[in-house]
Order: sequence, then structure tokens, then C-alpha cells
Amino acid sequence: MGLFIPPNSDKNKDTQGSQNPSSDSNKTIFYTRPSVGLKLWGPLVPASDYLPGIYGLTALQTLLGLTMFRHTRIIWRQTSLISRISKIFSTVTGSYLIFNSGLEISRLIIPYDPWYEEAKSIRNQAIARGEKPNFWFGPLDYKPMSFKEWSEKVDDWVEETESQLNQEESSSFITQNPQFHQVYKQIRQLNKERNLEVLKNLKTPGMNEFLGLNNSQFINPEFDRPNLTLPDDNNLETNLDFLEVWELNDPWESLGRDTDYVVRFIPKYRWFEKLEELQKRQIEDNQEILKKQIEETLDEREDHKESI
Amino acid sequence: MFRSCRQLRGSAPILRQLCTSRIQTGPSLRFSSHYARQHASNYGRRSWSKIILTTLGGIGLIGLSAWWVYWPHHTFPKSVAKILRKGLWAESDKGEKDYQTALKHYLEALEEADKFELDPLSDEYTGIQLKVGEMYERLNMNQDALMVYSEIASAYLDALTTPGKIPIPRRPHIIQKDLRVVVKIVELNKGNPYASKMLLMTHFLIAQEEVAKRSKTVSKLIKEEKEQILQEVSQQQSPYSNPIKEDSLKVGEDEKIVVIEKNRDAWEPFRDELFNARDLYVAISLATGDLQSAVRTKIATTEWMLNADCDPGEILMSQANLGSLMYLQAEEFEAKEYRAIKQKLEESKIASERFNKKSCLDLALKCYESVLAFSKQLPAQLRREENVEESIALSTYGLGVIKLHLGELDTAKNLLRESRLRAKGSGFNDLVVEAERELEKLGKEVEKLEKENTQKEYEQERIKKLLENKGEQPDIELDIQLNKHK
Repeated sequence: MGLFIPPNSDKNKDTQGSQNPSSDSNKTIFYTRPSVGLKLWGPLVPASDYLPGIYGLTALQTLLGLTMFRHTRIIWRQTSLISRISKIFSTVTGSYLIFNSGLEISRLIIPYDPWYEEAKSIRNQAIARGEKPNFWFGPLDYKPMSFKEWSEKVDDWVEETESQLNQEESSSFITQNPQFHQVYKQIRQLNKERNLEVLKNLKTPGMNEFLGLNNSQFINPEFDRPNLTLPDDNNLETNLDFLEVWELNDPWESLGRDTDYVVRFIPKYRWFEKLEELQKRQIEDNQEILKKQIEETLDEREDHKESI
Repeated sequence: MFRSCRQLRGSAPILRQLCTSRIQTGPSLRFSSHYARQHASNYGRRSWSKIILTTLGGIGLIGLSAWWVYWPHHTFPKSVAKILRKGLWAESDKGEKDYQTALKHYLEALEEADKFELDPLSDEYTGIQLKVGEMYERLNMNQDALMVYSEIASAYLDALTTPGKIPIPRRPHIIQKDLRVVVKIVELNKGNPYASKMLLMTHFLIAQEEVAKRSKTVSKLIKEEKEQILQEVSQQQSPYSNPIKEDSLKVGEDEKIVVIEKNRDAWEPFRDELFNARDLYVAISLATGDLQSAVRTKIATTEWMLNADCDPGEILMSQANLGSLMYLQAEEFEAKEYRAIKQKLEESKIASERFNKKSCLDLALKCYESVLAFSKQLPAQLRREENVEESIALSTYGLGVIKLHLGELDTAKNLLRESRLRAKGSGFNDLVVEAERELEKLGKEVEKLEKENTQKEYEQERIKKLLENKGEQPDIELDIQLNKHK
């Protein structure tokens, strides 16, 4: 069950928030999705990351405003009390609606929208958790940041951007460098010469050995890209056939697949087995030496005794 | 209504009066029905032309989108296309995989393209170059292939750093391609890791600058790292210090609770390529013994991956790898501690190394534990994904190794066994081997303890032992695995 809580009613939120889990855990508190100019729609406002919804609703609101104006224009000449009231009413409402649409649009024009980022990340998290959030509202159980937070974030962003614009040029690490161009020209020249050489050799029969290509079927064992296969009905006869094959085997796509790595680091316990063995051997050696010494002294003593 | 009134207004004042009086006196219902009738008749008259126009517009739109989807977007000059056709044929299974002939045709195509002055930055031109490179590689002429790829990369570098050379909307796509080609160069240029490192760094800094330009929130993150890099480059050999900030690991722990700002769009379309290049940079840094750059880069990468909204499996693997790096760093500090004791340095210096080691071990534990904790919160379906399973296995293993280091042998045993099981389950065979080796070490350690009849040994004991040995320390080991993504 959704429970609608009007935005910016902090008292309500707190009491509901604390009571709810204990009293009825099935109820999720639904907070109105935030907006500046679409407040009129109350709980119908779409999640901030559902841009088609927001733009659509804004357009609808603008259209409603325009219809109101049109109504005023149609009954412009009527002078009865009802039509006068109607005129005033529709003019005021129409301008209110259009003004609000304008507000919303100008908010949406700002390239940075904290509400959007928030709603999007929450939606993605929900999807990662295996839930299926509503396309219009996003996950139902989150509370969007207040307008105050939103405007603070936007203010920060504006300040940051400003300071960044002021020092943009100075902080670049890789700037234009005439060396880059020289290197490129050099490599290009070298390659051109090499290509001509290889081409000449390839065109001359019997020159393959010069290139180290004694076997025409020689395949680099490390190069494991699957071979190019033509579709059954494609014999590369027309330009269109060619484009089809080229697109199917887009060199850049193949390269992208080839250069996608998984990097894993497996640590190892630093162990001193070898050293210990050495140590053991040393101790054993020492003991043997000691034994010998003792034996020798004992022998000496016995000798001594015997002599006595 | 208005229109009819206006017409009347011009013709005769009496009629006008009539008209207005009629409106004034008549009830509004009558007015609106009149209006509706007129509107309907207007609509009826116009409807056919409208329908036709709408239909035509609709057909046009559908046709346009169909053209966009299905029509090939490459535009080669006809003669170039003709030569390329021969090349593709020779290379294909139908042309008996004759790579030499294919190479010949591709080289001719390149010449032809030069004649037409095809833009060397265009996808068509670089596409032919890639084909030439591929044929060189297939024919085991890697040096030539390397030169071809280098030409593309240097052309991109030159163009990307020359303002106005590439229109702004096209830059991200060029950067994406640039990163791919650079990784290829690194792959072919294995004998020269230092050059590879510089190359990777130069090119990923350009990519990062592009991201920074697009998202102001990300630019802060990136700037911080760049300043560190610049410092390192200028100082050449900076003193070895603890590069870990206390807050840099917060991300993994409470990712679910704190909503971190995500700016996926700012990183696209070269997000995966960029992180790929950075991971390679880390691996090469490690291989060349530059642990500091490796750790710093990995920390930043993991942080950025969260911001860029990468897949959970990728983030978890990155975090597990970071744990391994932290453990490696801890070992490094332990070696320093040992050396400091051996050289009889001041007590404060020994203590600082010990402190560094301790904090690195703690961070490594935190990394691994956060991987396990976070993976538990993932839905079952995601948890079964290969890289998630592998991250869990690797983290369990890593925890086991740390416990072994800390002398908590029972815990270590359980963890290592679990990791072996998990590694088997996810087909992570190298880890199975490593886990078995570690279990063997552990078994011997247990044996020794039983022989000596002592209780578990702790950190200080380890150092003491090392000192008693008097000889050299054992090497610090880490297995770097670079596998191509399947």
C-alpha cells in the first residue's frame, strides 16, 4: 500500500517515519517526486530521472495553460457576470500554469540536476537488487532530497563551474605539444616506406622468405582472434556485400573485444621454508660438531685416565 | 465565431449590432454549440490534406530511422572499397585464409586511400590500418603491427591535443578508439614496460580530462589524482610513504546506505576502456616494482568505478584486487621493519614502519570483508555472475592469507578451504592452485607448532624469526593475472 505524504511537511514525515515500521511494516511511505513547476500535480509527478514523463507533464501543463488563454479569448466579448469571472479565472490560472511550466523548463535546462542523479542511482540500485521499479515513479520507498538541499547542491555546482572556467586553461597536463606532431609525422613516414617495401616484396614471387614468411598458412599462435567468416549468401560481389561484411567485422569492434582485459591479483603468504631448512641444518651441524667435541674431550679424558 | 463577427463588422454596422446583441442576449450554450459546429466543419474540410501530410511525415520518419539502422554508415571511395573487397575475400574462410594476399590488398587500399586524401583520423582510414595491423599480427610480424598501431595512436594524440582539430562531439569516440589502440600497443610492446607505462598514462590522462570537462563533480576527483601524478613525475623518486587516505575506502563499506553521486554519462562511451587501461597501468606498475603508483591508481580507479556506475561484479573485483595490493604493501612495510631492526635504527622509525604495516593490513582486511559483505546484499541472480563469484573467491582467499600472516591458523584454514571450493565453483583454476599451495604452507606451519609445542605465533614472532635467520628475507610474491575477457 502506498501512503502519500505531501512534500515539505516535516512534522508529518517524522511521526510517520518512526511509527510506521512498528505499526505496519507493509506500508511504504510514498513521497511526492520533487519538482519546481509541477507541484500542482501532487503525487502524479514522475521520478526525476524519467525525463519523458517530466517533459510530457510540463508540455501538458503548458497546453492546459494555453487552452485557458484560448478560452478567455473566445469569450472575450461576453460581458455576463459568469463569463467575466470565467475570463478572470482562466487568465489567472492559465498564466499560473504557464509560469510554472516556464520554471520547470528553466530548471531542466541546467545541465546539472541533483534530483536526476539521485533518482537514477536509486533506480539502478533497485534494479541491481533485482527489483522492478515503476517506470513512472521509480522505486516507491525512497525520499527525495528537499528543495533546499537541491538548491544548495546546484549553488555549489555553479560556484565550482565558475572557478573552473576561470582556471581552465592553466591546469591542463597534456597540452598542445609540437613534439606530438613531429612524432606522428615520423612514424607515418616510416610506415609509408615500410608498407611500400612490404608491398613490393609481396608482389614479387619468391620473396616471401625475405620477409620470413616461408609458410603461407603460418599463423601467429598468440593471435587468437577468430577468423573472418563470410555469410553464406555473401560472396563479396557488390559494394553492398562489402559494406555488410565490413560492418559485421568492424575492425574497431574486434579490437575492442581483443583489448578487454580482466586483471586479478593473487597475493601469497611470505614464507621462509627454505630459510628454516637452512637453519635446521645449521643447528644439526652445530650439534654434530658439539657431539664430536664432547666425544673428543671425553676421549682425551679417558686417554688421560689411562695414562694415569 | 470571431471570424464571422469580424466579417460582419466590416460590412454593416447594423449587422454588427445584431450580432453582438445576439451574443449578449443569447444563452452561452447556444454560442458554444455554434462555435463547435463551425469548428467541426473547418476540421472536416482540412482533414484530408492533414491526413496525407501526417502519413507522408510518418513514412518519412520510419524510412529515415530504418535507413539509419540498416544502411551501412561507412563511406569508402569506390575504388578503395573494391580493393578492400579483395582483401576481405582473401582473408575469409572462402578465400582460404590467405593472409599474405589479404595484407597485399589492404596495403594497396591504404595507398589508394592516401591518393583520395582520406582523413587519417576517420574510421574508414583507421579501419584499413587496423586490418593491415591485424594481418601483420597474423603473419607474426609483430614489430610491423606495432608500428601501424603506433601511427594511429600518435595521430590521435596529436589531434586530441590540438584544439579544434576534432569537433567536440566526436572527441569521446576518438578517445575510446585511442584507448583501445594504446592497450594493443602495450600488449605488443611487452619488452618495454616503462615506455608502456608512460604511454598508458599520457593517454588515460587525456580521457580523464575529457570526463572532467563534462562533469564538474567528477572533475574534483580526477584533479586530486592528477596533482599527485604530476608531483610524482616531477620528483621522479618520491619517498615511500603511506598513500592511503583514511576516507578512500569508505566507498566499499557502506555503498548501499550512502547514495554516492553517480555520473555514468560523464564517463561514457569510453568508461570500460578507461578503467581497462588504468588496470593495465596498475599491473605494469607492479611488474616494474612501482607499488606506490599501483596502489594509488587502484584506489582512485575503484572510487571512480563507483561514480561511473560500473557493474557490481567489476567493482567487487576491483575492490578485491585493491585488498591484494594492500596486503602486498603490508608485506613491503614488514620487510622495511625488518631491515630497520637489523640496521638498529631508532625505535621511532621501526615503530612507524610497524604502524604502516598494521594500517595496510587493516585496510586489506576491510577491502576483502567489504567485498564479502556487499556481495551478500546482491540478488541471487547477480551473485551467480562470473566476476562476482570470482571476487568472492579471491576475497575469501585473501582473508585466509592475511589470517595466516597473523597466525590465526584455524581461521585461515577454514577460509582457504572455502576459497578453494568457491574458486573451483567459478572455474577460477589458478586460484585453486594457489589456495592449495597456501594450505600446504599452513599445514607445515601447524606441524612446526606442534613440534615446538608452542601456541599460535603472532606478528612479532614472525619478525623475530626472520631476524634469527640472519640470511636474506624471502621474496614478496604476488600473482598478476591478465586475462582477456571472454
